[in-house]
Amino acid sequence: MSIIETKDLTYVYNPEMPGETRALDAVSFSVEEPCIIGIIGHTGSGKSTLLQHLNGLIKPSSGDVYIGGECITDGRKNLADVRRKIGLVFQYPEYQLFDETVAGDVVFGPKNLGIADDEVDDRVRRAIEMVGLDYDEVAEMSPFELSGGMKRRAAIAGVIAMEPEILMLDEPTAGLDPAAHKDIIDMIKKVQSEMNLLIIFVSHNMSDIAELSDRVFVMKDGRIVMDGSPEDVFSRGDELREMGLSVPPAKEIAGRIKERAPKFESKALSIEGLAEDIQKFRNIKEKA
Amino acid sequence: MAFIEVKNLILEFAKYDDAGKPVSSKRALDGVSLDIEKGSFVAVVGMNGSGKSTLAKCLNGLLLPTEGSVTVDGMSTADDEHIWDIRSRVGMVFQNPDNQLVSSIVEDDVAFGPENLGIEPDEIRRRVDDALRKVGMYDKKDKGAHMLSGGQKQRIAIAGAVAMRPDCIVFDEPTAMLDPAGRKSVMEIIEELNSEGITVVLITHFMEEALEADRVIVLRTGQLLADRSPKELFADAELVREAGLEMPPVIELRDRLGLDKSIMSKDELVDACLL
Ligand SMILES: Nc1ncnc2c1ncn2[C@@H]1O[C@H](COP(=O)(O)OP(=O)(O)OP(=O)(O)O)[C@@H](O)[C@H]1O
Ligand SMILES: Nc1ncnc2c1ncn2[C@@H]1O[C@H](COP(=O)(O)OP(=O)(O)OP(=O)(O)O)[C@@H](O)[C@H]1O
Ligand SMILES: [Mg+2]
Ligand SMILES: [Mg+2]
Repeated sequence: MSIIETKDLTYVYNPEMPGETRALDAVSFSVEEPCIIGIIGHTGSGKSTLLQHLNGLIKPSSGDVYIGGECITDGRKNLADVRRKIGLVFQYPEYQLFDETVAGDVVFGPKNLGIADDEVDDRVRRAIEMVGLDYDEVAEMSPFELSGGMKRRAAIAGVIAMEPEILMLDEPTAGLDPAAHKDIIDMIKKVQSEMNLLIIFVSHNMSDIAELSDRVFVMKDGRIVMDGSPEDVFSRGDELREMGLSVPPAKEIAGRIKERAPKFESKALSIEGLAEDIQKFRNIKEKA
Repeated sequence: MAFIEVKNLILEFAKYDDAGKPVSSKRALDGVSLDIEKGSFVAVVGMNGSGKSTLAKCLNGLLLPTEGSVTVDGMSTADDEHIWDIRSRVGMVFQNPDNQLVSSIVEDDVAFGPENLGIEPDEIRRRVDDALRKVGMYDKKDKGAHMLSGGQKQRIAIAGAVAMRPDCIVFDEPTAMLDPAGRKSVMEIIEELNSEGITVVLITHFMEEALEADRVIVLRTGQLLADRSPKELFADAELVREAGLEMPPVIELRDRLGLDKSIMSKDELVDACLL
């Protein structure tokens, strides 16, 4: 049984009005195993609209979404239950922190679920530690005293404390400094492996997509036009550039080397991997 | 005298209690001094909360110094008399393309700034057309702004700044929300504006963008940690780490391969790999 599945999901903003936009156009996919899925696509390709359909925030114009085999779009399912199971971290979620303390913010979701107080406290502590913050240090701090990266993590902790079965993040690293950026990437890996859940994230950062994803969806004009491993997707650089996307820097540099030295081969998506391949290539050349 | 001079700049944000009484203050800039020469391309980098946006807003008087001074072409931003002159010389482009456009039609949006300066209609027309050509959006001038992609909206925001005919444009993370093509086109426009003589201040978290600048200013907790060329900055792994930054991919690869430290671009790197 699939964890999540869509069939011909279609959504039109402002139907039959000026500004009518077909944001999703017959999107179908299915995910069977917990893993990390990365979504890329030009601005306006429908990525954020898709995420909002997957947790029932938007009702499709046509087509359906299935969670654990159950249809959530036929009007019979309680959408509050769906949203509890499928956590969505919006873009720049730190703007939605509102409580006087970090713990107060994180506790908000689970408390609304009607969970017993001591269980809530446990969850909040676990969620805060899961995102790599020190509970004793930050719990009573004001969210406004945190750095940008810490705020982002606190906001993500609020969603994790709901213990969702699927976690979705829209542009989780946008606007973060390099150190905070790396922390969030490491955090996503850790959450996936420790909680063994399905994570779906959207990003314009090709290196993040390459580093994190087990599977990549490429969206263009409301459709999924590629669906494959990062290696497969990023081997189609010309098609990606055609639609306003790109490949990770390592891949681009490798491509340039290959243009001038056709014997050079590298599948590396990281700078580290590329460095190894170049080193090998140079050793072989030296021997020859 | 440099075009922009920042001297011992301290900027504090006051915190107020519920009754509106100031209770404490947050020092966002703590004694920053630097010069920006006319026509230069300066990148500003540093961790979240290090004071970059605050510094940007001080450069055109959106924020006024708590202590110290900022002068633009000799005029102090704290001097009421000069503030409009300063704002027309130093333009700003921010991160979010959606929050910056004020009109629904592209050319009206670009005309907004010059109209507020009280410039006559013919001249406005000329400036708007010029600015739109410069960012490659002239053929979209009568389109609705909502029809545009993020990268296109950002180009319209840049055209709005260009139409003011400023000496300098401060870009605060202009590519943070864009797709790769949008990022690339915005960076190309920034470089072209600079090559035409406009002074550029670019705030960014992307180290490969900082690499394009003549000079990189590194802030940490409101203080100036370094002010040097990209070459010198990225030769200093210790400093890069201390500032919470990272090496641009080209430099990281260069150093992993133990190649010459003078290599700064992809082209040079590829050459060196093939030697
Ligand atoms: N509230 C809305 N009303 C009308 N049209 C909308 C609305 N939200 C999005 N759209 C349009 O729907 C399309 C898809 O938008 P969406 O935000 O899903 O794209 P995206 O891939 O997330 O883009 P980005 O990378 O810029 O975040 C775009 O053409 C957009 O202009
Ligand atoms: N309006 C404000 N009121 C109070 N404090 C503020 C205000 N604006 C900024 N600050 C504080 O001043 C410091 C510097 O903020 P600033 O926005 O300049 O940082 P930045 O370097 O631009 O960060 P980022 O990379 O996250 O954009 C931070 O500690 C911030 O919390
Ligand atoms: Mg989006
Ligand atoms: Mg900022």
